[in-house]
Amino acid sequence: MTMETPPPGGDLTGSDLNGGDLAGDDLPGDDGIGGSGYSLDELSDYLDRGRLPAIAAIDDNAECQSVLSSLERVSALSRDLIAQDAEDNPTVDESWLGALFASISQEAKAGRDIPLASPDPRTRLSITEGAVRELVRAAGDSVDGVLVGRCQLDGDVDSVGDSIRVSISISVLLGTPVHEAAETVRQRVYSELLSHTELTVEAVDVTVADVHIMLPGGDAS
Amino acid sequence: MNDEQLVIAIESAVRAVPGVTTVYSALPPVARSARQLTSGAFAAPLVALVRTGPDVAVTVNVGVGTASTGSRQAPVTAAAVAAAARVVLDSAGLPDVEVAVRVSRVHD
Amino acid sequence: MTDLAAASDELLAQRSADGDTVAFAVLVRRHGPYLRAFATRLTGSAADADDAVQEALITAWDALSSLEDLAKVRAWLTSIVSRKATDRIRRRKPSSELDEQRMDDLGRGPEQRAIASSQLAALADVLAALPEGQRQCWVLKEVGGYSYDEIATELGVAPAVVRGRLARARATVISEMEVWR
Repeated sequence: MTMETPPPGGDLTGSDLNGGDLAGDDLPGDDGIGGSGYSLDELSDYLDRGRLPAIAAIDDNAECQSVLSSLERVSALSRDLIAQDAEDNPTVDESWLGALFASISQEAKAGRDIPLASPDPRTRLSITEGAVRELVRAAGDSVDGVLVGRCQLDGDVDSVGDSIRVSISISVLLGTPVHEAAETVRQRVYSELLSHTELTVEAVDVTVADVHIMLPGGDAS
Repeated sequence: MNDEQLVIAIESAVRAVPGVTTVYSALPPVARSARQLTSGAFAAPLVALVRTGPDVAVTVNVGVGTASTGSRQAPVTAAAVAAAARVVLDSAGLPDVEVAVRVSRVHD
Repeated sequence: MTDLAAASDELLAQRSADGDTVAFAVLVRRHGPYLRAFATRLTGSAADADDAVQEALITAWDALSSLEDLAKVRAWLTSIVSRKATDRIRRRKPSSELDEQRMDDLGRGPEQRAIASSQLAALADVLAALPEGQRQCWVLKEVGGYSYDEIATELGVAPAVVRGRLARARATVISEMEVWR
């Protein structure tokens, strides 16, 4: 760990804009930027505070206004630079992606073990909550224009036949009839749960949380 | 047949069950890494066999197909997996084994 | 079957929190380039940036279920990347000179593609020429939006040091960029 201390007496690097030093602490007798009495550092703080509360000595000073606008400009340019870098390198390296996915585990998201009816006392069969969520998502996704977001199973899942409520949030493609889509999702989810679990499904609540559109090239909106 | 051969045989039998798409490791990731370190040149087997005194417990973790692909329902497939494991265990002279089958994926 | 690429960040984050690796892959492809660009300008090293972003995404996968506002995915990922990147920076041996490689990764070295705007290219050169500590503070403040105290904690220095570095960096940057007004 490196520790720096600021040089004593302030720092005098940085070229002049108009006869004053731009950087560093106020020195005795220093008139600041444009004679306002405020240093570059203080102007930057003023900008960070949204120029509130208003300070007349800064707002009425042409040089200060010029410096503030430069500060804003280079700040915005810096964000633009990173955005441009990203545009210039828009794809992620496949082997880097592969290494990433080898390191993440779905086991952490398995959730609770949901018991299935067992043929004999020495056999224990179960399906994970994660697997159930996955098939609920697949069921919802299979409906035209629908994407499933969150999926939650509310209720105890300790015994075969336990009853649960399923809550799903979906996004629909703009133009898709919302009510019909939600109803179709409800039916398909219910049917999948009947097929693959032995839970009693009290209800399947479908919330339409969002709308999405398809742009050319399949980008998100 | 030693335990290592046994779990490999069980894994083989499980893969052959209709509706089984994948066999996952029955052990959580940390235990898996430790296993790989101690098992030497062999990749850690996916099926877990644990002996506690005279008792033997086998755990199998599978992914199964969804109904839309014509694969069998998860509960039926899970039961079939347990049955397949038992066939191997019975033929190895181990009839009193606790068998646990966990379905952790349902996918096409 | 609708394409997940059309999904919002929030929806993808919800699915990822529930264990959907395909949805997470979409998020990674969508935000990866930005995160890597940010980490490169921050650390001055493409290699360090790649590692920091990968570590951050592994952490993010586990932490997603505890994220409160699933809509603010990019900002949240950027904060994790900042932590991992500054962890690396803090572990570096102190050196008073910029590595050649770092200059290449930040400036207009042969590996760097041409930057569309000359104004941005000029800024890139100015930032690349700043002393390491000043550039790190600059990126964290102006691009990351962190406070002085947050930057101080991340870099392991006193807030007064951050203030000093930023004061010097600002003076340099605005005077060098003056010609572009």
